[in-house]
Amino acid sequence: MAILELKNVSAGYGRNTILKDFCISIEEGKLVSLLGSSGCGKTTTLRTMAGFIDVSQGQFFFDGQDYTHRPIHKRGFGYVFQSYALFPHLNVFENVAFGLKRQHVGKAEIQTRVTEMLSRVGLAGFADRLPADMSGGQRQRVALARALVLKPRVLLMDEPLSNLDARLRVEMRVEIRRLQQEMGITAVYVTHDQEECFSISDQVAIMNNGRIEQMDTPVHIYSHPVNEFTARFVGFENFVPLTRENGRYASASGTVFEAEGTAPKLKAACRPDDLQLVPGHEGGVMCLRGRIVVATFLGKQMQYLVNTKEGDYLVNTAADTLYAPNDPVTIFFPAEKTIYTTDEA
Amino acid sequence: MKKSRLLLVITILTYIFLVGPMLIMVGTSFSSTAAVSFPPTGFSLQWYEKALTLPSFQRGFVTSLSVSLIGTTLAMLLGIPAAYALNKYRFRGKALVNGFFLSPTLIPSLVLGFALLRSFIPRIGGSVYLGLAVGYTLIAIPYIIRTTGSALSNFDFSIEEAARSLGTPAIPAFFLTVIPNIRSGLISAFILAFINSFNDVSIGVFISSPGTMTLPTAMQSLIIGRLDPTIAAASVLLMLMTILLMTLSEKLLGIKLKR
Amino acid sequence: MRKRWALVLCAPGIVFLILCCAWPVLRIVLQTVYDDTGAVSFAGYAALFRKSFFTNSLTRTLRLAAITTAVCAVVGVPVSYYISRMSEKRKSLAISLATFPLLTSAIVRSICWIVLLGKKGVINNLLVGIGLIDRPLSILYTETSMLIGYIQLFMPLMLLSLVGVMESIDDELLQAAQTLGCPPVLAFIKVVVPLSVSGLITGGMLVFTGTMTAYATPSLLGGTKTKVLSTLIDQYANINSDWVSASLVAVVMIFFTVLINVLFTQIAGRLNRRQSA
Repeated sequence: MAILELKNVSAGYGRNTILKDFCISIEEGKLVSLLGSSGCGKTTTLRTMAGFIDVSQGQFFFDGQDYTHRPIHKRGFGYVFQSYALFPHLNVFENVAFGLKRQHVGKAEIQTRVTEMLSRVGLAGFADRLPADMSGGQRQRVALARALVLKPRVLLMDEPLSNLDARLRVEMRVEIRRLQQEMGITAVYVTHDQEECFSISDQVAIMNNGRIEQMDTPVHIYSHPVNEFTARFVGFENFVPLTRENGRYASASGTVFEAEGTAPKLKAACRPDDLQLVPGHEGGVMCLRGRIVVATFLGKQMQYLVNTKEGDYLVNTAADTLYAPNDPVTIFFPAEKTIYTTDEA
Repeated sequence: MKKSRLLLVITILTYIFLVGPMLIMVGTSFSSTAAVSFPPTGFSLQWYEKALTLPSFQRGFVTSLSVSLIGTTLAMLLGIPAAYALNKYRFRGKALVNGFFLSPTLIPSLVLGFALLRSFIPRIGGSVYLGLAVGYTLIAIPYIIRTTGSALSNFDFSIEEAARSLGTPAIPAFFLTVIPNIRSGLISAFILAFINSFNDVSIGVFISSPGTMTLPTAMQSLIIGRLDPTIAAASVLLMLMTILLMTLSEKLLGIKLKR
Repeated sequence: MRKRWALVLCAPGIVFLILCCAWPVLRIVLQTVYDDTGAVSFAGYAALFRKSFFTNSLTRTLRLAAITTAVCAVVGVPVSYYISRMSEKRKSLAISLATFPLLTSAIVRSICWIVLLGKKGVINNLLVGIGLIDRPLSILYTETSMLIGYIQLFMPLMLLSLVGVMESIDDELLQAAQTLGCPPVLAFIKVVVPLSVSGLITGGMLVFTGTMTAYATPSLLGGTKTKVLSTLIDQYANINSDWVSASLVAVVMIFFTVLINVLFTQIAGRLNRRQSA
């Protein structure tokens, strides 16, 4: 059952409407990521759920109740800010206890709950520190603890790991996933990092221009992007425009692709890793002939830029496969690794 | 962030409280009758004419203008070299010297005037005029030290050393490198210190004589007992002068009047 | 070499300050602690503090300064916060509007209130004119009118001290407090107020000492029954020609100015240490 639901919501800053007629529905207990480049509306969606942004049209439901105009402090959602937004004048204990005090929890209970939460995020013994005296990763944990100690049913996170270095990011995302599952919280996670979001999410919503392009499980999106935008987002390149003629799809130069469907135009696409490169000019279905333009050594692999009649394509091969510029080659699109998209993004 | 209406209302009311009375006084200064009323009854410039021709105001204006100019100039001549030394050199007792230069702020200017009247003016032959000039110098020195100091804190002294290494003697080097770089800070310091002195009431409370008194003191002695729009007109003229100097320093030099 | 230069550059100013400030002030102070025979004696102060006229003025001075500071702080915090959140253009206008009264003579600003509050002033004329009251109200020459004048005089100092501090407070902290269950007003009190303490101390010191030593406002807006230290010195010296009493009051004024400065600086220092510890 959906616990969070935006129904035909329009929202934005002042006259600048970022979300128009926006819909999303998030199931209880899931970790859902909103993925997209800056300005795609992912943070706006999150802030709308938190109540930081006024909804000009549409409705927002939490657990079946209309929360559209509910004040921020009455929503009871946890929120983790990109900047952490820790109170600089309060120490770690006071930061984490801040929300409990508002709920008029007894002193003894505050003590036990804060202490328990701090050890849970690995900060036992840091209670007296001020935020200014802590590292980025530690502050991140305080921010998490501060939100989680209230046992919220929903946790909203706005790029919580973007200010950390790469190693810490990996460590913290595992941590976040563990806490979310242990506590059975519904979480919405905003990020622009594809790897990060695919690794921890139950579902991913890829956003673009204030719309959701595709929302599904990471595995499904990874293998079956529905359009060129999401395909590019999950690493597909090498798009070949196809036109339908005599019941078959063929590229401009006449190569036939084994696509199914009825749309007059399609695009075939494949990841550089999945394309196969053969020396010389071969004919046949799903093959493009061309010449090597640039060879780049990537360490584990060689990357070749190949010029064909359809355009330039990138192919990654094993590091011991060597071609020189201007060598004639044939690119083969393996059927099981090739996807077909319909739009013209 | 959603802007709160409550904050907006409080802010507007505060600004009305700060600026409103002055606007109302501007209104009353154009009254055609001797009663102070708002909205003004009729329109006339007679009170301005009266304020401009009142001998005590004319003399007060000249006195205020000249002693403020002398005081501020003297404060700059004494303060700039000291601020330069305090920023450039490290020496023992520097904090003490700095504190000493700022110490006049600890003495209420009314008391400063009182002390000058009792212990200083008798020693210089009883010149009220000179006493006023000295008083304004004292008020301006801490201000000049602070503003010059903050201007110099952004100055890279290696520029001056570069000039020295190119064969310029110390004093020309100072005028060729340091002064041009802190010029706008100095000009704004001068203008603000001048406005401050010109508007000051406290020093003149004790340092005045029937022949020599500052404009604010002259205005105050006129108010006691009666109230007609002349005083409002004179106040408006003083306000106009302040606005003029403020826009001068802001527009001409692009200086923010932020503290 | 360096030392000599520093000395040469500072010397004129130091000499001037010693001759024209330190020595005259010190003489006033010394005169009050020597009796006619030249022996050290605090009899003058003892006598002064026995006069209820003086002690009343002293407590009134401190009370008015405290009230003025409190009002400026309570109003200054929300207003300066609002100013700090304005667009750059509006902000500089708001700051100029706050600076302008500061650069206008205290005498002009006091005159404004005489025009407004006097028996024949704007407000009374208006109220009598529309028949709301029969006889003009006596607002002027009371502690109320003095307070009004003080607050208008010193509010800009508080605002300017606070705006810079407010600018460095992140709005997300307020949102964070709200997500943790604080209603907006409470979030403001719990987050913005403690974070603006340094500005409140700077502003508070300026307002408190300013009110304590202001002369034009109490002399024009206060009456004979509402003397404060500054108007008291004036009365002793210029009206009663009682120079001894005037000197005593002057020294008391210096004492309290220095005391307040030291107190506020101490508090600021302690807070700084706590925040950087």
